[in-house]
This record gives sequence, structure tokens and C-alpha cells, in this order.
Amino acid sequence: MIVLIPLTLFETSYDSVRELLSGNDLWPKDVAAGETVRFGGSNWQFVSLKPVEVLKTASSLPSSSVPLTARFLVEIGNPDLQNLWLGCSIRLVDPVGRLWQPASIPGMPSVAEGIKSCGAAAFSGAQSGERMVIEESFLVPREVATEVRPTLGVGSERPSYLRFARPL
Amino acid sequence: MKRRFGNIIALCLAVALLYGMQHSKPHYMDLTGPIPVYGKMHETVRARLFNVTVDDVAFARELTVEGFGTSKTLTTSGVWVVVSAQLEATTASNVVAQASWVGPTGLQYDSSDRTGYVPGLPPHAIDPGLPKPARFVFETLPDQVSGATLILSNQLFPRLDSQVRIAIDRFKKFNDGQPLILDSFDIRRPMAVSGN
Amino acid sequence: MLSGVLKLGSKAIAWLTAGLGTVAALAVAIILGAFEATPDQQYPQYPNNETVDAGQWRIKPLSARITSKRAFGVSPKDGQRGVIFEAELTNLTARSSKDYYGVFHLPSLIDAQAEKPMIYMERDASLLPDLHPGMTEKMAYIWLVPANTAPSDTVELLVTAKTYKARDNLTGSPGWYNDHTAGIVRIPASTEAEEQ
Repeated sequence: MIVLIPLTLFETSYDSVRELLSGNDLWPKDVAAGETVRFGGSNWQFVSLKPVEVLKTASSLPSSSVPLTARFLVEIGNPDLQNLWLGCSIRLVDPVGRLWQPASIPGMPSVAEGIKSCGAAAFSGAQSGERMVIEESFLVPREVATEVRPTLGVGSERPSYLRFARPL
Repeated sequence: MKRRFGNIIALCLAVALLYGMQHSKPHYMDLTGPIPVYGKMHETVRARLFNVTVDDVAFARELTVEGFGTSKTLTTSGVWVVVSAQLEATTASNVVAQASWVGPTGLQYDSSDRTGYVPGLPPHAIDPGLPKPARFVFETLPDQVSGATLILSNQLFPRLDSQVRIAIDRFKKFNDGQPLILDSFDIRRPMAVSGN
Repeated sequence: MLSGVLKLGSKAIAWLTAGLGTVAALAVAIILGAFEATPDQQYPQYPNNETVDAGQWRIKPLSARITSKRAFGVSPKDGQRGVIFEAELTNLTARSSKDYYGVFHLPSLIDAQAEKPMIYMERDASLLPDLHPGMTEKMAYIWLVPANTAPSDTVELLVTAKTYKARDNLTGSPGWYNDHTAGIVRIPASTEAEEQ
């Protein structure tokens, strides 16, 4: 009994625990400004987080919000992106830990040729050694626009994730 | 022989105990069910992942909606309910997908899926710090209006997660308590923003 | 008697137990099979144009027609016919549901060759909308069948109903379980002439 009960508990909860660990960004690894980090088999560098100029005609944005675009420079290492970058999620986090997911922003100008979202990049068939620009756009409250910083999580690295410092 | 008799007794006891527990203890679905957060209209009700304020409830015979550039007018065998609210995420961006109108006797009217995709109707994607006007539409019967409760949650079947339950008591009504039912309600009508 | 049996070798007992077990299992299987195979159980025939309760739905069969033309969103291909059946449905459960999907079935011989039915609300031709508690709606079921198996003058449909259980044995949640054929609808069908 003493052996069997803990063993049963372990066995029944093992899958749930593994799913919890591999499905969530739990443990941050801080990345200094400008630093390039190997993550999910590729080299990631956080370039910028800037407000976006939206078309003036689009009045549907809440008045207290600011649209921001986060830009990363990635040099592909292991090209098996579909597996390594599975569930790729770039989010913004503020000093108290609130999280923003990418949003579709009405009136935003279309992105330049070759710039992809993380999810699209994972299925782009990029080869080893290729360099690409990855961008995601967000809508955040004005008061935290200068304080938020991006995080990056991919399936192959969870539960660890990257938390980038903003370039000065 | 004595030992065998003892075994039979033990077996019977076990059966009786399990049967008793099955009938007296809370069931699995009750134990792992939604965690209710009760609230009133016009006050901010706080769930785990979102805050909601219900500003207005209106009733109508017909509903006009617009999606993908075409507008359509929907009739009903009962009455349309249009709930106008403010939604805001608490700690992380998320989606409020499930809304139900629960009548005084517990009949549950899920938000209507006849509208198709229409901006401003669920599922509502919400972000922290950015309160957003949100509408919910239901079809129900006139006798399910008085004493109704609005139920909101992130997922269709919330388990071990908060479920907001807001008592619906303030709406335009006649002296006999019957609700004022408009001939038609246009969902494109801007929402009256309360508070800010 | 018992002691007599006990004197046999343990091997013999094992053989005997296994043998008895097999015989018992076979017997149960045969009896169950016999019940299953009872030819053409006489299901009650539901009258047309009258309401009747069939488990979780109150139904009222209205009309049937066979067509080669487009109806609602469904177009029969060459060599196909649309079997269109109209009925009034009322949700007798406590929650909005699309469970009417499995209520009417073509007899298995035709059903095996038919495409899955499409079901529309006649009010606005919305596909498979939720039907809400107590709210009666006229629905149209459309099956596409090979022309040579299409019924000619009478459409026969089996009505599947469920039984309410206050709690199911595994999770303790209330619900409607145990599909069974509750009755049969035989409704005269008009045939829409083929346009050449």
C-alpha cells in the first residue's frame, strides 16, 4: 500500500503534469538588451518595440490604447521549425505581470515583404542559416506602453521562456 | 468456513459503504464544477480572468445584425434579449466565449448562434487594461424574463473556473412588471457607455 | 456436497470454473442476441400533424417531399434526390441544444447510402441552430439519397429518443442518455417533377 498509492498518484498525474509544463510559459530566462540567444534551435535577437502609426480613418481603437509592434531578428539554426516552434507565442508583459497577446489592429498598414508572424514563420520552410524578421502587433493601455517588454515561448523549450529587456 | 463468512460480510459492508457514499457525497461534476461569482447589474463583477459590468438589457421582437457587409433581420418565436456590457481582461488576454440567459426556473438559453459572425458579439477577445463594449444576444420566452440571471464564462463548460452570475432586475418595464418589448433592435446601435 | 467438490484436485476445479464461466458467457450472449434479433419490433406510429413527446423533443411531423431541385443550401447532384422532411420541434430539456440532429433517421437500408442530413430552421434558413427550451420551431431535414433508393410516395422515418437520468453513474451529472427508437413516422411524400 505504502508503495502502491504514491505510485498510482504519480502514474495518474504524470501526463497532466507533463502537459502543464509543456503547455505553459512558466520559468522566465531574462535576456539583456541587444543580446542574441539560442532558443528553439535558432538565434533570436529582440530589435525593437515601437508604436505603430495607424490610419487616421480608423477610429475604432479605444482612446486609452496604443498599438505597438515588436520586431525580432532570427537566424534559423535547426530548420525543423514546425516541431521546434510549435505553439510559438510572443506576448507583452508589464511590471506587474499582466500579459497581452497579439491583436489584429484595425487601420494598421500592411507589413513589408518578408516580415512574418511567428506562427507563419514556423510554416515558411525557412532553411538553416536564413535570416528573417519576425513581427507581432499588440494593443496595450497607454500608461504601460513604455514599460511592457516582450516574452517568447515555443513548444520545444517550455516550460522555460525568454523575457527580453527593452533596448535603451 | 468462518473466514469465508467474514469475507462475505466484508464484501457486503464495502458495497453498502460505497452505495451510501454514492448517494450522500457530492458528485464529481459538482466538485469540479464552475465556481460562481455573483453580482448585480451596473456594478463591476470580478471573475478570475475578466471583469464585467452589465449596463443595459433590452428586449425586442426583431433583431437586425450586420456581418461581412450584409445586414439581416432575424425574427423569433419568443423575444430577443440584447445585453450590453463592458468587458476587461484581468491578468492576461483571453476570450469570453460563453453566455447564457437563465430563466427563473433554471431553463438555460445559450447565446444565439443564428447571427453568424458579427463584430461586437461573442466570442469577445479582451485585453488587460482595455475595457471594451460587448454585446450578447439571446432568444427566450417572455415568461423567462422576470427573475432571470445572466451567466458568463471563458469556456463553454467551465470546470474549476469562475462563472459570473448576474441577477437581471433593472430593465424598462410596465407597471404590471411586464418588460417593454421593442419592435426591433439594431445591433449596430452604439452602446450607452456608463461610468467613463 | 460442498466438501465433495472441494476434494477434487485444484486443477479440476480450475477447469470446471473456466468451463462454467464460458457456458455462462455464451448463454448470456445468446439470450442478448436473441433479444436483439427479435424481428421488426413494432414501434408505435406517430400520427402526422399532431404533437407527441419523444424523449427530449416534442415533435409534430408536417410534410415530406422528394426533389431533384435545390432546397435551402442543398443541391442534389445527378442521380441524387433530396428527401425533405418538415417538422415542428420543441426542446423539452432545460438547455439550448442541437440534439435534434439525431432525432429522425431514414430506415437503415436507405440511410446507409444517404449523405448526412442538413437541417435548417425554416424561419431564416440558418443551418443547425441551437433550439432553446420551450421554443417551438419549424425545421427542415434534408437527406441526399441515390435516386433509385429514394422513397416514392411515403417517407418512413425512425424517431430516436433519449431518457432523462437525474445523474449518470460515472460523473453524477444530470442529462439525457440511452438512445432508443421510440416510434416511427410514415408521411405521404409529394414528388417534385424533374426539370429537363
